[in-house]
Amino acid sequence: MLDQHKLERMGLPCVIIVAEKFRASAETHARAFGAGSLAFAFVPDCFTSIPDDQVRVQALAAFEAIIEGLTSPRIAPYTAPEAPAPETETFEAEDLLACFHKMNRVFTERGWTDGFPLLPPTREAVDDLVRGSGRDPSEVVTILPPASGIATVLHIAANAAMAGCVAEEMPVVLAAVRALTTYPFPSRTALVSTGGYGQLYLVNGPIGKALEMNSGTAALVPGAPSRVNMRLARAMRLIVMNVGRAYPTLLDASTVGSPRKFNMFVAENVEASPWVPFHADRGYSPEDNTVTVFNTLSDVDILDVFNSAADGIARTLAAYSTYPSGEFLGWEERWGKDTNHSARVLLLVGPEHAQMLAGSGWTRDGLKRFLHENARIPAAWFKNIHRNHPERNAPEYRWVMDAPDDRLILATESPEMFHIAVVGGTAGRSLSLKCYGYPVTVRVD
Amino acid sequence: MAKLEVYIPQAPTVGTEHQTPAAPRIVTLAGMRVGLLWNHKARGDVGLAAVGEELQRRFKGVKLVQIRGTNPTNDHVLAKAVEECDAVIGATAD
Repeated sequence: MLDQHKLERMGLPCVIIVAEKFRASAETHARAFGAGSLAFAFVPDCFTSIPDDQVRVQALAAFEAIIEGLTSPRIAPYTAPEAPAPETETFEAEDLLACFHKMNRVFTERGWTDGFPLLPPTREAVDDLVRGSGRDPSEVVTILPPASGIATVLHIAANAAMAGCVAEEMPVVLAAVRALTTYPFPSRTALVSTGGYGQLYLVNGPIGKALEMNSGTAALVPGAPSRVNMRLARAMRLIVMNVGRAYPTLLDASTVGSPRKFNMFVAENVEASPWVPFHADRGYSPEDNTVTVFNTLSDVDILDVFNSAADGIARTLAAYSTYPSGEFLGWEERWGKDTNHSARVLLLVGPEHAQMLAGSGWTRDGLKRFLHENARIPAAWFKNIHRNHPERNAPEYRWVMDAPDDRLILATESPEMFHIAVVGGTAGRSLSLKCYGYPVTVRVD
Repeated sequence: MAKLEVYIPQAPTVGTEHQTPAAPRIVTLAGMRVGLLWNHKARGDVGLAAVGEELQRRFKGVKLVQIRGTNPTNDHVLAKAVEECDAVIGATAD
């Protein structure tokens, strides 16, 4: 739809075929783009879900709508821009607690919530966060997909206030927002896809400890030890919805979704890590404060309390680092590197596993090479996904369609597809997260 | 009565401030160059192929231009579409 919006701006009339279930999402997207006159041809079902013969029938049933979309004058159902919203809103009730409940009821009706009670973004709370940012409240930090939301410091602070953030945390929140919209992070895919993408933000540098972020035991568990991690993650969830307008069932087309959409915020456990900090491998000084955003698509707990030798641990990590269907293999090559369609793995290696590996001389790069060579899937899994349209595969993967089903193929395209950080406590566990697209690191100002 | 004043957390969008008018429409498909823009969503190509065949059956002189897009499509591919097409049919926005 973004394509069609751009083409219309360049003077080319377009019409887009859309499944009926996405009508509300399509019209919301169009309005958000400022393209309310985009022409749609609605079909009953998603083409992804029906056989080819039904696709043809449905496409032909929409033929007249397609012709009309290209030939009939297009008038947006609304021509005037939205009236500017007031800066504040006042809720009146018998006491402040009742006002709080009223605010939550109204905000929930409007969809401005993650489902949990929201702290009131009062002038005092928000102004305090703005002061903590060190920036002017009207400064535009970024334009946030998917709706091209104008992300001012004020609006970011209002959502951070609802999440319970404190002033000292604002620089990290602002950095996370910038990371989300820094190329080549696939922000649009991350926020609107039918897939359950959830962002994980990894913090490096002294600021993690200064803010009392949890990098050790239960670092990703909701609870008091990770209270800072949780409210930073919550702030980002509210920001992508209320600033980017990635509201579920509207612009966020998640089919099932995932609790990872609450977002995850964690600091690297550098005290327990035998390797240089994650961001140092990306060219930063260990004293630099940074936020790296990953677009995660799944997470798998890795249990290995059985191996005491490094190569055994490495093999376990490799076994948990596969894309079961190889669905993204070759996409970057097929579609072009600048499209950022790459399948990656983020390994949050527990300190015990990391120290066993490093103690036997394994470097981070050496581990990446090993993982690439040993994370494999049977050809049958790849063929199952690609068998209906094998011509769409990247040329270097087409041979797989003729390979024996039990032939083991590489599950990743290169060692660079692996990203390794040390997080968590010591109990023989690590965590593997499948990711899509490049992670992006930005400095905390 | 108590009062609770809060900031509005929902930000305005670029689109709510500027609406882009639609491109001029074509009068007829006859003799037109029609781009079939497939964003690689599964079976979008199948739907577009069916529409393309029907276009050629119903309108004389239609030339079909296959556009291999992505999600979203690179700007240079879109620029080429503007040069080579008079109209574009896209699939799918799921």
